[in-house]
Amino acid sequence: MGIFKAIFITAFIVLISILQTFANKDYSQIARISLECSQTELADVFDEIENVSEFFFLFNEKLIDTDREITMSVDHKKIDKISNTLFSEANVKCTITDRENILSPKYSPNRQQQDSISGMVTNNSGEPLQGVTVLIKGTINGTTTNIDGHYSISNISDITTLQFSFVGMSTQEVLVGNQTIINIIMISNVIGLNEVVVIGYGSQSRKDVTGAITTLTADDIKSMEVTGIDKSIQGKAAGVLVTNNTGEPGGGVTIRIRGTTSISSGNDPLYVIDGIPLVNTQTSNRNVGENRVNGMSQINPYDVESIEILKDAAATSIFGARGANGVILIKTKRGKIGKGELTVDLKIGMSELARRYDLLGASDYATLVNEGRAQLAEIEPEYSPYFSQSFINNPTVNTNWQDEIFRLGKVEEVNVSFVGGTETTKYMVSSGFCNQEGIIIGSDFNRFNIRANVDQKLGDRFSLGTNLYASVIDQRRIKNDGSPDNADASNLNHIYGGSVLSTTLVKAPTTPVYLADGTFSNDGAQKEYGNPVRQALDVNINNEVNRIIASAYAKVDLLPGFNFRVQVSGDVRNELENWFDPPNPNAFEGTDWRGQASQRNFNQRAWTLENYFTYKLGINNHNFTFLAGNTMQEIMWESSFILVSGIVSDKIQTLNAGTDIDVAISDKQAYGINSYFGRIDYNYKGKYLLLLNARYDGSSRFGKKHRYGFFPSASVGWRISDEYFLESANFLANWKLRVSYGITGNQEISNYASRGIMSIGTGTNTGSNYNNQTGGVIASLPSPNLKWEETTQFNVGTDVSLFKSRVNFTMDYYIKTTNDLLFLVPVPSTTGLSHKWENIGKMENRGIEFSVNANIITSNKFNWNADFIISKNDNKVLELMNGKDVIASGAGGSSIARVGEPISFYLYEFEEYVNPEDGTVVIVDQDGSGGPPNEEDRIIAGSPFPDFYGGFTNTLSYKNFDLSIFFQYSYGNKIYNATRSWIETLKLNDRTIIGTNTTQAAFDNRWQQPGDITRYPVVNYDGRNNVYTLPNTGWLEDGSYLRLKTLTLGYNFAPNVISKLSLKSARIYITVVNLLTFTNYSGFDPEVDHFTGVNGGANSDLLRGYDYGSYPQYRSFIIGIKISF
Amino acid sequence: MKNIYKYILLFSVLTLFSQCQKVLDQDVYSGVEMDVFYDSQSAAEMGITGCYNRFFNEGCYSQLICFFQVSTDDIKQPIGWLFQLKDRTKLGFNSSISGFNTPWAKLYTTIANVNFFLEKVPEIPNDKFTDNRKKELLAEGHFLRGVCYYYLAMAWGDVPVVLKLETGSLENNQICKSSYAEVIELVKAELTIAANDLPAILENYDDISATNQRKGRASRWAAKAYLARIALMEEDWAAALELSDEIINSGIYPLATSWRSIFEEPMNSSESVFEQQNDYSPGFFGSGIFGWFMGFDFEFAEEVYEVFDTADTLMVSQGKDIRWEFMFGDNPWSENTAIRKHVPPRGYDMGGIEQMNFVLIRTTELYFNKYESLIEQNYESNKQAALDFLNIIRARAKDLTFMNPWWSVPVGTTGIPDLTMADVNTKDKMLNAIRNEKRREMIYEDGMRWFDLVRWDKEYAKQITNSATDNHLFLPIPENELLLNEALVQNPAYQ
Repeated sequence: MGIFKAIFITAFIVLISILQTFANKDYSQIARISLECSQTELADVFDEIENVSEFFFLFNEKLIDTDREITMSVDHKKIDKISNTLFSEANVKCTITDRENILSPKYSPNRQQQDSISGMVTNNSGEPLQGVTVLIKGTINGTTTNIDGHYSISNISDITTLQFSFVGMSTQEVLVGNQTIINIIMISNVIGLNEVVVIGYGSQSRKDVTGAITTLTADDIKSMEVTGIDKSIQGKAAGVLVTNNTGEPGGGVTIRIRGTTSISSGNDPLYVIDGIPLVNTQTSNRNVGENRVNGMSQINPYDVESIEILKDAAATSIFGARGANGVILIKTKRGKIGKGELTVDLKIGMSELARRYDLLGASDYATLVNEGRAQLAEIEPEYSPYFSQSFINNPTVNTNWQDEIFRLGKVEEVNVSFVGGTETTKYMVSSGFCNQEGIIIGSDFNRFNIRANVDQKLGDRFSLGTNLYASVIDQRRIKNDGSPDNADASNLNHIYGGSVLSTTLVKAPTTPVYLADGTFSNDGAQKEYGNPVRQALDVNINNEVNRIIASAYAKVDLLPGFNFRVQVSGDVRNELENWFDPPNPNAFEGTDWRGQASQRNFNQRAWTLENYFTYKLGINNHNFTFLAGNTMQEIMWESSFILVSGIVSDKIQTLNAGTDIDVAISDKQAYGINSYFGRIDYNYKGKYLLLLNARYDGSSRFGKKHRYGFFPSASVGWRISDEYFLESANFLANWKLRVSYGITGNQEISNYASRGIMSIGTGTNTGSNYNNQTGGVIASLPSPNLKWEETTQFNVGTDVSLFKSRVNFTMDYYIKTTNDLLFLVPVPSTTGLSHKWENIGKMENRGIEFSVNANIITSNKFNWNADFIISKNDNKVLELMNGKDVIASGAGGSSIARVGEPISFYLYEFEEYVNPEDGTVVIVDQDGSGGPPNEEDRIIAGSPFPDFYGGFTNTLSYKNFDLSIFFQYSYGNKIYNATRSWIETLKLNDRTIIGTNTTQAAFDNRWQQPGDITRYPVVNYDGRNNVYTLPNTGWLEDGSYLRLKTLTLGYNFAPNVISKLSLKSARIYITVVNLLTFTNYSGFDPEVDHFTGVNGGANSDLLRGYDYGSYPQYRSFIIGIKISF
Repeated sequence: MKNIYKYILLFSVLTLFSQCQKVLDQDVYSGVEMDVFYDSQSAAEMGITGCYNRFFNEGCYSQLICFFQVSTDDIKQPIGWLFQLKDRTKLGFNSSISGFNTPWAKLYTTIANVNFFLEKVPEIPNDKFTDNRKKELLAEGHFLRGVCYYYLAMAWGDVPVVLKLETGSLENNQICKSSYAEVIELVKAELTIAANDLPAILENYDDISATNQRKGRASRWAAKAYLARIALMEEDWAAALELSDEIINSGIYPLATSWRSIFEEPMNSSESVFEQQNDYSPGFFGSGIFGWFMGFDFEFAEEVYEVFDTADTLMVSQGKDIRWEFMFGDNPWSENTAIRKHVPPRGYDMGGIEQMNFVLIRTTELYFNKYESLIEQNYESNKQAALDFLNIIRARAKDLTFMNPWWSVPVGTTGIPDLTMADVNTKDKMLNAIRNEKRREMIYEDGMRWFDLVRWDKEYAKQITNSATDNHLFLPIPENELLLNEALVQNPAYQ
């Protein structure tokens, strides 16, 4: 090794000097050498030549026999002649370039000799990788790839092994054999030790990280065909539970990082994109039902370079009062040095409903209705059979309402990006368009966005840059989620009608969609339920969103290692939602047939200013990074809502068409956060690591004396693998232990929660007016002592990389305790209000997270990489106000927080079989009190949270093909299927004279005569089975599932094909999303979560795991092509 | 160059600290902070308007009178909502069943708003008010507080009395009950303040539309009318008579000549003393929720058909008494006949939320008070006057122009025959005639029938509600309140 190194270094210096002297001429063609030697060892001959000339020799000692004795005499000969003489007998080949003589073993003639090899290196999405090191194995000879990902190496033979390595990627080795072109796809290495990890207000090298941070790269999320970044991390990060609330295009998502930490104060993580804390204020339109507009759907995931999920206090406390629910740091792609590269990514696909309810056809339904009405006829004779026997035998109408509202959806997406730069200016410009048609008629989502990220250097010390993002969203929505009952006031259905999907399920199959004249039918026998097709197609709900997220920064290097950075940013969002319900000529007699229209406006402006100093200092083996800074953010929003009625024509859909202004309200709110933060990052020899974080955070939401909170954290790490006693353990590439402890906060309460407020006006019904005069009423009582909710978290974790980082494990265990829960405490009505904000209660989440990544096979042709993630979180309520239960009701069910228990469903328990005597359901009399069911009969019936969950991914590549198989799973969670409760209760509503449709199972197995042993009760038109409508375990189901979330098969075109087309790379792929789902859940889809926080009212964070007529997830098939120029 | 960096640094640091505190001081834009709200006459006017809103808001007054009415013999046993009221032994179980706690909470919400109003308005300097307005406003506050406690006492008996807004947390709100008698004394005191301090003449409340402004608000006469009711309840015939006479003799509220005008739009008839003003926007303000249930869960009791001398099974109009014809209607949503008093004839527009004003006090009631008191005091000398009054009321049953929107019957009602002295020739017969006429006349208005039943025949009231004890005539205190206010004790009937 020693000689090799020496030769190399000398050669390098000589090379440089020769280059300087003879820049244009090939030295080997000029230089003449005279040499005489006898019985001299070859090595000495080389020395001699090197002494007398500028030539030098490069070789591997192991391959070249340098002890061989030489006898020769040459005079004034060129070097090639000399080398021919020297090696003529030996099995050595000498390649001469300028001053360089490269010696390599010669092989037997039956093997083909090779001079050079070339190829292209890409990542697994087909993008060329620049700067990949390509080495001849066992030598230091090699090259790196250029900006197009191309390399070429000469002077190699077929037994040479090439080694490809790149930061953050797994090293690959390829035996050359008889190939002349070797293309390599580099697979990202989850734990690349030198990888840079973004942390708040700075970055760290992966090996120095002491917090619990999961990193996802663009590659990890690229195969997820999704509209939002929040959706893309599902199943990819340990400890992060992502549940799509709905399959509505652009719909909401529930994300819980390490469990539910709060009952009333919000559990969503903080999103920070390029240092800009996003303000995803939840908005919803009451006439759309209960789903919020998802702010994250407004950001195109295509631009994402990496996502960092900060989980423990060491990682999040730098975000202080907003860190308790975890922080998601998103970094978008930036420019890089090189010729501009244009990439076009095109996708097209379709989507379909994966599963439907098996509902009755007209004949069975008519039988059921007549049976139900016969019950009523016993008391009220006017309830004669509604359907004739001839209709039952041969129905003239048989509408399958599910067929009517579900359709094949469509996805189209185009993304174009342009990346490039010089030493001083780097840029990334992108633009995207996405159009998604939902699987329910009348719902679609369009997004158009542009981004420009520019970085500019001004001199040596100064750099500037901007991030500009603008998007325009045009979303057509339908009223989804919630009850089908037009009279349901809690849902405002009495104004806006029932929701499309739930109405579809209850609607009689005996009602046609259209009348003979082509207008929508309106069945008088089911006045409670509208026509879902009309509700979807005729009723227009259009939400237009404009969002701009922009920032500019400047960075100054004040002293070596000491710099100052200032960034100012803005997040601006406007929403305009128009709703139009045209006049309905077939409205029931006595009801208003005229149309209505509404308009909702939401206008939000948030700005953030951050300043911080960073100082890096290394003294001997002590490395310090100091950080100190300040940030402030101000958010202001204003919303308005106007509803008009009395519209007689559908020609004009704007508000001016109305005759009466029924509602005209607006609201304006603001809040601000001011914070100081600091960090000391210390390590000794990169072996002993220490990180201290602190943030002093003030929020306008709290009482004047309690505005500021202090959030410190400390963490230590020990890289055991660097210790001398493990030096010999070669299989161990890295082993690190991490421990952290710290405090974070939560401030997600309403903006003025600590203040006593008189609300003014806003109408009579919804506000405080009377007799056309403006009134003022007490809206909230002052709570001057209100302060942060504090979460302390202890985390211990370890990272292990084995076998040259081919196998990587990460494991974390944490205990998270939330104190001073911000809580809407119920107060006696004598206070004038029902609730008041207080800091009361304590909750714990403890859990374990494990992930493993392995490069199982890495070879030239075949690569196999596998990822497995599993997480477990146990939630437990430790303290509540006076130890009293907190019960929240919704969707016909209820949930509870009880000391010593996890957040759970709280329900009456049903006997498995109905009473064989009369067919009614039987509630288990838990307290043995007899009589009608009472509070004491309710039980803690199970948890909406999974016992464990996660995902696993297999990425395989063979030659130019690659295949990615991603499974995602959740085990042990329960779902309250309120959707099924509408269709299987078999009751008659107040204003209907025929009941709801039902499932085939409930019909076929219903109790019919005494002695029947069945799970399904008797028809319930006369209310004999009234306890059926209590919140009960009958609707509680196992929500476990295993899902083949994405399956992607891709093909990267070979470089020779590409270069013919003058392309840099080209890839074509097919992706299937939600191809297979294994579950026992009886609803549309087990991935469902109705309550999104905005709609649940007080303490709605308890209401997890409800299926309430939710828009189901869909299966989609997508084909895409990606080309770089 | 070095200097530039220094300036940049200095500038950033300055910007930083000048902004810091500002972002934490945020205004409240769409509301007003409580401690600075009451500063002027217009604020006081807004405050009192808010108090009216709370009293008439969905779930408060309109739901409470459902409780009273369902308890009477005018409503058939409901199959749905409030069915337990007909069998008070069932009320013991889970008194927090939907609906029972809402009016309790809403009445106390009104009281809390009034308390805050009565605490803060006296602190506003007098010179910020025009004329006598401050005193009047305070009197309106006392009126509303008195009325709230009146209804609370009628429904629950012993209830906690809160006269100050308590903004503290749970510990500050542990308040025990006051006795029924104490509450009634408080009601009388509050109403007396209103009766004294509100003007005799209904002035414009310094706004443009004179008639509009005074509608639906407290007046001296409305306060006296409630006091008259309480006097009657206490069988203080002289006081009841005096108070009723005062209002009748003021001449401000002459009996309506057309009975229909009392309940037909635009409402606010000549005899309306205290009438809630509805709002046509969507929601359940005013009679919305009440009208909603009249016909779904609540139906005419069999007895009502007899009271109006009509046949129930035919489901056809009899064309006689406008008071029956007006409310015996069709329900567009159900197969039941709907009770259409307080429901506009155009029906359930916009999904069943159209509503009418509630008439809380009207002159007819005061006449009934007057003649009941007179007959109780002295039958002989007052029998002719009482008979004449009854016949005036019966004469209004004939309405020549009424077009029945529900049934195809001839235009107009034929009326019902006059009573003769022979029908009422004893004190008991006369009292019975007055009671029957009052039931017909004021059916489904306020809590009238229930209040009268408890007054006239407590045993009968207990019988129709399956009440074992007098305490059963009052409702159980919502369980939730007992949990949150441990000083509160459940009504013994439901312990």
